[in-house]
Amino acid sequence: MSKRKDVHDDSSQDSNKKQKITSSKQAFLTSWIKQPSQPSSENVITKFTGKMNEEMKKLLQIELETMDNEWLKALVNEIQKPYFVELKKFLATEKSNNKKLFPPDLQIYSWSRYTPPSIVKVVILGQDPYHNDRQAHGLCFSVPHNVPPPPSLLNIYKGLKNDISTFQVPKHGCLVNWAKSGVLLLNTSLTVRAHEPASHSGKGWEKFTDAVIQYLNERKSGLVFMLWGSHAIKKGKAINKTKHLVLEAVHPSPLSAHHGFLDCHHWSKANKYLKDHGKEEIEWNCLVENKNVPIPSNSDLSNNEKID
Amino acid sequence: MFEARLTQGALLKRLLDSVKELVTDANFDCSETGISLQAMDNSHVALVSLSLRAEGFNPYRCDRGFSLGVNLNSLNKIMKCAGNEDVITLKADDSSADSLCLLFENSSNERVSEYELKLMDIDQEHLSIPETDYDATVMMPSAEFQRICRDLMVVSESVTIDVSKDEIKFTAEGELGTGNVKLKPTSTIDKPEESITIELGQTVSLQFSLKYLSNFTRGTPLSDQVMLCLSDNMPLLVEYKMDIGYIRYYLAPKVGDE
Repeated sequence: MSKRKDVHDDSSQDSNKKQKITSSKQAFLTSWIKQPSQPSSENVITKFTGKMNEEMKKLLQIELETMDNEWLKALVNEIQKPYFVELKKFLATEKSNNKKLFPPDLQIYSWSRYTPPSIVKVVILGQDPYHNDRQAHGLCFSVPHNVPPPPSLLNIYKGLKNDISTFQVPKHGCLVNWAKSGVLLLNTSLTVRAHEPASHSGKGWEKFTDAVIQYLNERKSGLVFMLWGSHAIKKGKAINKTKHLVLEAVHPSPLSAHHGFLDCHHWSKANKYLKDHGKEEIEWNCLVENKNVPIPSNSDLSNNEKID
Repeated sequence: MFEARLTQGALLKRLLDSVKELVTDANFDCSETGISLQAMDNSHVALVSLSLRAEGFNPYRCDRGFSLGVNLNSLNKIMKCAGNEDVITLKADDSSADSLCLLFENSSNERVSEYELKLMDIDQEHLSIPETDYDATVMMPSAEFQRICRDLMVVSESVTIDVSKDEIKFTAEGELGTGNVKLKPTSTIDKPEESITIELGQTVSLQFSLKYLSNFTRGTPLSDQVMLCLSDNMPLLVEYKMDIGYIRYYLAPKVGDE
């Protein structure tokens, strides 16, 4: 055997080849075939809007341009349903009547950009966006950095501190870091008229946010839903409790929080559940660092004017 | 509404068989023009791309483009319940595609069976395969290619394919020894399925994993002929053409260490 090998090795060509074969490595296809990590938003939009007429595209401009692509893919059929079109027309009328609406257009879907479906681990349901100036920014219970935390949020901090003693109560009320860690902060209504609470309820947002919840309920497993208050509990009725963990408590508002919210221990329960299901826990303490996180915006949209 | 009826149901069974070893979950992208699937295997070495034209179905209806996320193993289990003579109809609601309905009809004994497969949410980027003018394109009987892969597996895990103007050579070298198979272009007018043709821009010599190649040869029942396209330092393309479309496999070559 070894002798034969020697004979082979005499021929330089053969030995070269042999060496080549023994030392060759399997290459990866990815070196040739591009896997665009972030498809340009334009492409995605054209993919979704292929069959939309111009009027529809214009009406859904905010959705198409500011919603996260993953979410847009999940909801592209929903936003073309008649009720949603009606809702958009209603919002357009509100604007043409010079009504001031919260949150600003670019932030209506900021929940979708911070927490795309692939990273959602916990869902917190709110009801209505804050209706005072500069408060609402598209995440339920959250306010931007320079705005004092509202009473409900302060109670959430209190409840958390009761639950996890290492929790450091932040001075601000901006929950962006939670959202980025996989906590979807979704309101039932996504807009409100300035200083008129619940002014946009019953206009179609409920149906839309139901579709968001239903999507997560069906397509994901092992999520934690935190339902605070009868409104949220009712909205989360359809959630599959064998597939997900549903935690219920009274609303954190000062009117009801002392009836059990402050001792609900939802945050440690959520983390235990996530851990038991092989997922990474939420670092609830992540709020204290990284102040002034800018809201991600789609690159082709830099200001409000473009949308209006 | 999505509906596609295929008279030769066996074709769908074979197609699935030729994909499922390579990928476990994949999206069937349905559009007006037909059904396609594109997926890379877990080790990122091979890619399968399947395309079925709408005209191949009777009838075919797809009102708008959408994706069916399928666990191929589960789909295969259901497809095993279809007879080879069955007419297969695929149905889904394109607005809320959470399940795929499969209808198997046997015309001879009026047996109708219906299955529903739960769909999955599969995040898949669409991969862009660069268009290339290949240095060498070889057409040969698919059964012959299957046999070569099977035979040379005895000797080694990899095969070197050399293509010149008048010959294609498959060489394997392993611990127990070596082996090679040489084929020359032939054209038999009365039996086109047995012909071998070589179109050559320049000679090529590339090495590939036999494990993957023999995996690809699961496509053999789909077509009498297989097409191999090679270029220096490029992935190999293996294509089986069918009346209704094609299945293509891409495989990254093995490259020298230095």
